[in-house]
Amino acid sequence: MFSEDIQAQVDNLLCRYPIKQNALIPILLLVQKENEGWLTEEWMQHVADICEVPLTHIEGVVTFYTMFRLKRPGRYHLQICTCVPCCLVGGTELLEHTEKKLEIQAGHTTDDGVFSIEEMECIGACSYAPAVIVNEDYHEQVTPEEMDKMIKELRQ
Amino acid sequence: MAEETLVLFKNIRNPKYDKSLAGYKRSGGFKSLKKVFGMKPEEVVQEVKESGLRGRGGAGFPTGLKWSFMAKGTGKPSYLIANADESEPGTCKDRELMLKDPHLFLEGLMISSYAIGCHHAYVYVRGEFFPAIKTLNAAVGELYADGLLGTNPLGSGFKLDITIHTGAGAYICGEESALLDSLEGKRGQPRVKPPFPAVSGFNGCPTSVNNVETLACIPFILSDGGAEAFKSFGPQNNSGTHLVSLSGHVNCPGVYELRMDVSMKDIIYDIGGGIRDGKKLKGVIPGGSSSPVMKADEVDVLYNFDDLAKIGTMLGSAAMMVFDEGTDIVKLLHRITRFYAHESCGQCTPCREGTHWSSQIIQDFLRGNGSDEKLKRLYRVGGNMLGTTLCALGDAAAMPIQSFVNKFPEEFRKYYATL
Ligand code: FES
Repeated sequence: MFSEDIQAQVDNLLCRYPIKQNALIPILLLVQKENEGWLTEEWMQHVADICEVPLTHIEGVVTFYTMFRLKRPGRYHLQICTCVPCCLVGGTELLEHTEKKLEIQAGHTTDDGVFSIEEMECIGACSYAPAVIVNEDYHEQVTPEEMDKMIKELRQ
Repeated sequence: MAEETLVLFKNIRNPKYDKSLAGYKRSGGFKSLKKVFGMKPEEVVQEVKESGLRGRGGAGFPTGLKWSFMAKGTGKPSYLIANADESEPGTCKDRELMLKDPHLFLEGLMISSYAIGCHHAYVYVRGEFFPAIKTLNAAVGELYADGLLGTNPLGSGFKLDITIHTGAGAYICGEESALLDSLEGKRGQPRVKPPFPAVSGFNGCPTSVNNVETLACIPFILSDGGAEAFKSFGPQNNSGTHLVSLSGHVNCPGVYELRMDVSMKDIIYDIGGGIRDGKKLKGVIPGGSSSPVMKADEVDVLYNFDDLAKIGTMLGSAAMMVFDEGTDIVKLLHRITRFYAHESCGQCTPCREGTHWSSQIIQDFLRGNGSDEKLKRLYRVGGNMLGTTLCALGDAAAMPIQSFVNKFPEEFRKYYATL
């Protein structure tokens, strides 16, 4: 079910832990990344088999952590922090601005599947607020104008 | 004029610093590890005790003492887990260390592993920290290639592996027992204590969980004369330098390395360049979002564990959030309570219900439905979470509520008082 490369990464993760179940979260994250940012029941079942746990355990885990997604996100997933320090310096306004610009609410994806927005709790960049993560990259002290520019560039 | 004291940021503040293994070694790196391999593990623990180092994750518990609780002779392996789940709102110092000087932290982790007899250490990094995860994995790769990790680092015969583990988004996993459940591949829910992790931690084995910054202090402490020097940096019982994450309405937000005898006033006005747009200070949340709020007239106080405790608040993770006179206190508290409502793991009723309830009551104020009765209720709901839950999240949610209501009652009244 995995490509050779992913299988090698999974095997490598499994041998770093005393018990297979310990590797469960890193493996799920790896699988999610390979599957364009979300998890299907089929993939969860496969990970359950690898880690020797029941599927219900996997479901409990993926619904507990905010980074697991059961819906396909946009190609560019905009994670905008509005937690306390970000909120003090314009994080909330940045989120509202982006929602308006893309005509979607946080938690949703644009019709063309290019962008999705997620409102974040503190992402650990508070001294450089407001902070945004686009897929895996941090952007700091982001102004609404910069956000517009970024959206325009990503769309091309 | 207050200024930085560079111990942890010695390399980071050097614009020419090369954070690769070779660069770290050139800066004097791994000398302490080499020295430590010639010492007995107990002697290392003793040095750390003597340095007076207290945990930098939020609780401020003495690190050497924590290590001395590790169960011995159990026939099970011992583990050291670095807590890199940095997620207390306002805190962004560990990320700085991991991104900009990964080998300093890793050397600290290695020395500490030797001290407690751990042969496989894990770094639990929050999943959102993609760049830090990449940096750490690359750094660990360099250490294996160099022979500093593996079966026989520096000819010591001390076998050591390090694995970078990624979390998947949950504030509660910063709590050490929830972190351990998460590391085991479960939902991250705090455990009933005792047993403490030192007796039964990762997979039921003796475990110590230590914050990244705490571990990054270790190479300095174990350098020649380091423990004494570390102690000399601050007032008694508040040893060493610490990393302060300064955020909010200051002109120069940032992460700064300071001694613990610098006053908050100096941090805001000297280091932070004062309040932006020429406005006046209204207050400060001094140590992460869970610490009781302070008013502008209280900031003439030394920024350390004991001096803040004396005035009824706390240093926590040294995350200072500064806000100006234009800040709406009720909205600010609403944002804080929304955070805790989102992050409560749901195990304990007072916290699961109390966090949502308090957030809703504040919402009522914002909608113009406040009253004296509701203000009292808000305070009571906060109080019901204090000390009634398995982990500290209940307290963390309660302290801001009670302190905001106590210190800024008029701000709440503004929302319903009729003229
Ligand atoms: S509050 Fe936004 S990064 Fe910490």
